[in-house]
Amino acid sequence: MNLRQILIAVGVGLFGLSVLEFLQPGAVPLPDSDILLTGLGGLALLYTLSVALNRRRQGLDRVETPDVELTRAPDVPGTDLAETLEGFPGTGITDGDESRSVRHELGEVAAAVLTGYKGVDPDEASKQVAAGTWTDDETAASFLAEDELTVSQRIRALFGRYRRHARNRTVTAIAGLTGVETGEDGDESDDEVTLHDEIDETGTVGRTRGADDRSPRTERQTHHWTGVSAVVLLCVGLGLLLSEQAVLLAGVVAVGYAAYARATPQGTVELSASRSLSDTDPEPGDELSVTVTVTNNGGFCPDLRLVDGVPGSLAVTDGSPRRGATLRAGESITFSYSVTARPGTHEFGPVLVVARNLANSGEQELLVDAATTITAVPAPRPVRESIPLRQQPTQYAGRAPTDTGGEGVEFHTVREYHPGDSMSRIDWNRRARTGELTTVEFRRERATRVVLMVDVRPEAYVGHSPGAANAVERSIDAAQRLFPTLLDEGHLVGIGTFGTAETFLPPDTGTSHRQRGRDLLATDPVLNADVESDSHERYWLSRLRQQLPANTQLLVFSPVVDARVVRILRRLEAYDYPTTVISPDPTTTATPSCRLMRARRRLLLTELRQTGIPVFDWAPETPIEEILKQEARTV
Amino acid sequence: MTQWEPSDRIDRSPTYVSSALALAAGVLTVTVTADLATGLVTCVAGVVVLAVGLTVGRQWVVTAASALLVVGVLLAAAEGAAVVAALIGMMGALLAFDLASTAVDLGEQLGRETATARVELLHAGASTLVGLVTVVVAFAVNQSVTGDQPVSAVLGLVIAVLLLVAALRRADPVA
Repeated sequence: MNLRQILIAVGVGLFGLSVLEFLQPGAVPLPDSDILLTGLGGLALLYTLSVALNRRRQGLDRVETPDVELTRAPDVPGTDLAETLEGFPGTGITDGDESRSVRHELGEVAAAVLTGYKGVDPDEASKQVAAGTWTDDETAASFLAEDELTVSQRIRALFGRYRRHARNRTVTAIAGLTGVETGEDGDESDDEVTLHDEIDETGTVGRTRGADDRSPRTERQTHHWTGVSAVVLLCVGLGLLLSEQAVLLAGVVAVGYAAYARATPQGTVELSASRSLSDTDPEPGDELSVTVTVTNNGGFCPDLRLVDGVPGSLAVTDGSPRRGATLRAGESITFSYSVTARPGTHEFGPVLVVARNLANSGEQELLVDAATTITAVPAPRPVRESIPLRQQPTQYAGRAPTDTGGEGVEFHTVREYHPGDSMSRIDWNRRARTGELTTVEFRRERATRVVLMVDVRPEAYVGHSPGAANAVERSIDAAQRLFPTLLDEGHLVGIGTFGTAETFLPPDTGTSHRQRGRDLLATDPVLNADVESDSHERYWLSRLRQQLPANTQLLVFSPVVDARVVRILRRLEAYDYPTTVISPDPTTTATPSCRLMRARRRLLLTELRQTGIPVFDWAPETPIEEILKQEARTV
Repeated sequence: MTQWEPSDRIDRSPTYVSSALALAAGVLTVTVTADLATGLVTCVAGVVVLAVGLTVGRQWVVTAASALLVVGVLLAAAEGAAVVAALIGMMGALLAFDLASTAVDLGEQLGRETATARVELLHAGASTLVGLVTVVVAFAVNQSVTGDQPVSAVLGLVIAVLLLVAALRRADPVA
């Protein structure tokens, strides 16, 4: 028997005795003292205070529901200054290095940018930073300069604002060295650069995918009615102190609600759910109607709060995937909403149900399974531009011009006639003019072996705004466009990824290969732009190299925001895989830190170009054709 | 920074039906305390704060508003309001709290745009019924017990209530 049961037993017993005393005064030996009664009132008030304070600390509990309507937001690179500084090319800044101040690190970064982008000698760069001659911005220059702070700066530094302001100015000035300008939407408030990421609180990262790690069924108290016991105590206390009958009796109402909250059972909830789609195999961009039916297989459920498990990759365009419902036994409810299909495979999650009892005092949270999958494979839309490949002929006939003469279209050289040369290639004009027999050589056209590589490492899941497509999605989309084009041009085309060696389609040609490639890009789980591949596969690069045939060139899609991808690309280039990079730009100019991230990416791209790797910088909202039209810039 | 536009997010404000009913309950409390100055002022303040709380969708504001209503009712009762007025006023104050919290909860979990009217009406109906039953019971007790009550009996009852409240809270230590 625990304390609670003892309290209840004594309480109920005393209650009975008191009622008896009411009916027949003097029947029970209870003390008869007004002072005692007043004292009790005070005690009740004190207890009220303790209950109220307790409640303040606890607050109400409720299940948080995820923002299923929204697509998962990609990380915006450079939101966190510390992250931007970490591993900045040309510096030795590493993760979690606490020994150096941000100011010191910024100094290193400024010198690295001067060296890498402006071509200044490293010693000279350090001198410029120390002397403050590297920028026109005096605040930034003096922030990094080694000389003493002026008196006014010292005073302002005491207030903390100055350092922050100066730091932002410095970050902007460093980014400005690479030509990164303040964006139009860039509000120059000082609070913009923070050392810690704040976007998670405004964005929906974590909330949308919250359903993944919920256990199938949990029960809890909502503490909805907890405050009512404080009201009971308050009424009793005040009523006794003031000897006011109405006050004391008002407490009875509160007692009623407290009993209601206690007495209402949690109830058992037995539900089943099904989901139907207007089309399970849509084209990307199609609007799909999703109809969800939830049936009550148990007893009466007064309060069901339903949230459908819309995939994080699909946005709800019309209607709501949420519903409040009251279901009698055997009753079911149907609701529908629309989503727009995006390329790839999307799995619907279970329906999240929050069931409350009638009094709102208990809450159950359950996940009702209803598995549905849609696969949207985009129709082939080859790009009309020719794709700038690097020269690397194979023995197969194709359309990529080579440096050797032979059959073809484009004039290459004229050479002496060899017996056996085709009559059509003899230069008859020259024969008529000089009597010499010569043969015209054309540029021999040959096929090339190309592997489209999509960067799916976690670093690549970045986008320029929380509402936009991330770099992986843009890469897959571009690969989907280029794959048929390259095949049309007669190349042998394969598909691979940066980050795992599991997904690999060896270069080949033909109709069935074309279909295989299209399906792979659309449906392979690794190439799913919505789910960050959490497999940190080790040695994928060496395994990839074993799979890559010799004489293959690579067309790599990567946002290039980390130094590691540059090392990988340089190594592949060195292993004799001529590489071309098409880089979706995920950076923005919204905050100083984001601008520094853009400068950092420019530095990385420059580094790539210096190794002889052609790089196409692909700005958001620009069609891929526009990018291919431009000459690949190499430094 | 390009953040979510407000239109991209779900409107997680308190739901309309429960909000309206909560305000109605608040107004009921105000009406029954109407002829007693201090209580009335406090209750009107409570309703205003309740409206603010339901606009901004904050649970603590709603709780504070309900506390104001309860205090207002008790002040009115102390000033000498009729027992019936005190009982109905208290019911209104607690209903206001219940319905406003339901509105905030539903808004937070499902959003304002979701169809929730049936659930809300059911909750409101049940809570009102409970309130009415207790009011009637309390009034009946009040009518049946006339004349001087023995202090000893009241003392026993009060101690019993305190013990029971403590027991309820013990069952639910976090509550």
